[in-house]
Amino acid sequence: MNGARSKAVVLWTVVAVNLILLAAPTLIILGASVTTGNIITFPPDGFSLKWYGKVFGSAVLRDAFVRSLWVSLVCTVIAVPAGTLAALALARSRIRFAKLLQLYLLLPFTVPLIGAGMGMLMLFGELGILGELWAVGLACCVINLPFMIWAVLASANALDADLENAAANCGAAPLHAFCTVTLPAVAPGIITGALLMFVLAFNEFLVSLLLTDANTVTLPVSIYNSIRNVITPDLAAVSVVYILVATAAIALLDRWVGLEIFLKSK
Amino acid sequence: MVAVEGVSKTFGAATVVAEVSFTVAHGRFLTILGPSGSGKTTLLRMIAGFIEPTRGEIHIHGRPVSAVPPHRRSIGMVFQRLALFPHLDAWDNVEYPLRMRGFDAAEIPDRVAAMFGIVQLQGFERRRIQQLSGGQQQRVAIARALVFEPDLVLLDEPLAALDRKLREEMQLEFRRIQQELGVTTINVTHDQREALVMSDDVMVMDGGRMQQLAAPAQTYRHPANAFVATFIGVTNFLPARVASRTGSTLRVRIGTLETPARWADPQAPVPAHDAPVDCALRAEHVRLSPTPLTDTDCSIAGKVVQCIFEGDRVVYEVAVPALDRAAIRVIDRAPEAHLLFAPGAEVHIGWHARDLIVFPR
Ligand SMILES: Nc1ncnc2c1ncn2[C@@H]1O[C@H](COP(=O)(O)OP(=O)(O)O)[C@@H](O)[C@H]1O
Ligand SMILES: [Mg+2]
Repeated sequence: MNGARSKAVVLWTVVAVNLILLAAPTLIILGASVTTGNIITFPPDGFSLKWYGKVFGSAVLRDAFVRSLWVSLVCTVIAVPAGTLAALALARSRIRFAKLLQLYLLLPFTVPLIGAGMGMLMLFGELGILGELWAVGLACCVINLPFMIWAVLASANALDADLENAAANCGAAPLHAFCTVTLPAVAPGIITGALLMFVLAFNEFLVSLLLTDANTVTLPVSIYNSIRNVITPDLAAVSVVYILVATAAIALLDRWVGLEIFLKSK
Repeated sequence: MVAVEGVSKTFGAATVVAEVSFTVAHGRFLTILGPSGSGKTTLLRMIAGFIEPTRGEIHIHGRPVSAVPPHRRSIGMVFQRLALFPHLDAWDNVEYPLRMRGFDAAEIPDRVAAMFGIVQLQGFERRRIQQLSGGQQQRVAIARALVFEPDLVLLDEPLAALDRKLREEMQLEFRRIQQELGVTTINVTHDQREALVMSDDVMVMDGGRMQQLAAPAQTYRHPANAFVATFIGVTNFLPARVASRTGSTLRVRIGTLETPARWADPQAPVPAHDAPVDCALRAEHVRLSPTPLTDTDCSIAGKVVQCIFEGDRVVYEVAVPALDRAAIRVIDRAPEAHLLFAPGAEVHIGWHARDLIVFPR
């Protein structure tokens, strides 16, 4: 009884410390963004939304924000079909080199981002697409595709291997069975992956830094450029916007597929 | 209705199904019974069209189907793990085959509703699959397989995962539905009880080969070979030699006992004098008594080694010195009617000649 109790105390202490550590940066940024002063401080000096006004009034940040949205959209639109089909192929067919293929598809994880970024810098230069905004989206898609594949794979692995056979028994031709059974059945994974890809591309910094120029700078890169001059509370306000985007993504996820998929995906 | 002709399937060097031939008449219920790995699923999948036979042909309604893809065959299947569509609710699962098979949209709701009635699942139409119990999911899968009135229904051990009570309920339940709709059915199982309870005919399979195809009572009373005798029921196997034969009566020598017996296949030639044979003796055909038996064809003394009380029956193991000390399993089906024998008890066992079945070695 006593032992169980002290165990619970230790457990809860650890959890509490973890929660505080995880939440601290967010709370500090949130506080700093509403300061009335001209420098980032915590706790904030008074309360005002003037820095939010400044952020939304800034053409540079607003343009960068729109560009980031565009990059994320391009990334997601490419990643959904590519990642879904790759994951289904990996999950279902016993391809000869499935293990090898899986390793190859997860390769972006093992290559440092800076390496991948430089590789793409050179490749895109050769192809003459450097400086195009959609190319940044493509790059984000390439480096983050493993997340998409994992999300769909988690859904697909949980499916009954006979699902398409069952559809065939019901009279559905193969393509029809794929569209009416397989795809909807892995939809939770696709939605999860798509939101993940969107948020990751929206946040992507290092590769974008290499691939963008003054005309195509995305929001993270734009923030970075400002930090190099002086750290003002408007950057904290931008960060809060980021947090809101991520929260919105998670809220959508919970609404559409439920967060259990993260808790039970293998 | 369904005719399987000389169908074989090999994967690489392994022959999984070998030269299987049988027919199922319209409205009949055939169970394929065999141990795990005997090729039952492979055979069923060839009929469904998911696997192509290496050799042989399958006919449905007299037409060969090797060139017909699964979605054009009129076959409903209940899969081992059910394979219900997880993104659809119970109703939409059952409706799916009707939509895919182009049924008149106006009559679809009536058909689906009628099916929910037949499988007794009214009130659960709008439940998601995950919100249904194992038995209810079972019923949805059965409804989905039957709703479009297929020529043939295939069951691949769908009941194996259920607990025993529910399984026995569903066996009777499915049999009722099958007879109500008169649909031709092939069921696969490794559960001998299920095969005997549900079927019009039982096909016993082992190592990819057909061992016997007969009515349930026939496979039980007249097993075609030693495998069928062991696989169905609890059976004692006793090595023996032919002592004498006169016409259809045969005497065998087991250890020091010489006793009359029945030759398994009256058609086949009886082996010569002193030829080695195997005798099968079902555990429930052995009588047990504290005194020598007079109404059986033999009576020998033994000693109880083990006594397992199972409620509706008692299973004994009796060591019999006269039979080379073989341990004979005995099942007593009416234990409360007479006394229980404790381990160590001296008893007499006996049986009728017709129950000692002799197979060639
Ligand atoms: N695709 C396959 N490739 C190789 N061997 C297989 C394949 N499918 C089944 N087998 C083998 O065939 C044998 C029979 O399998 P199966 O038909 O599933 O038996 P059952 O359903 O009676 O348990 C097993 O030994 C299994 O390992
Ligand atoms: Mg099987």
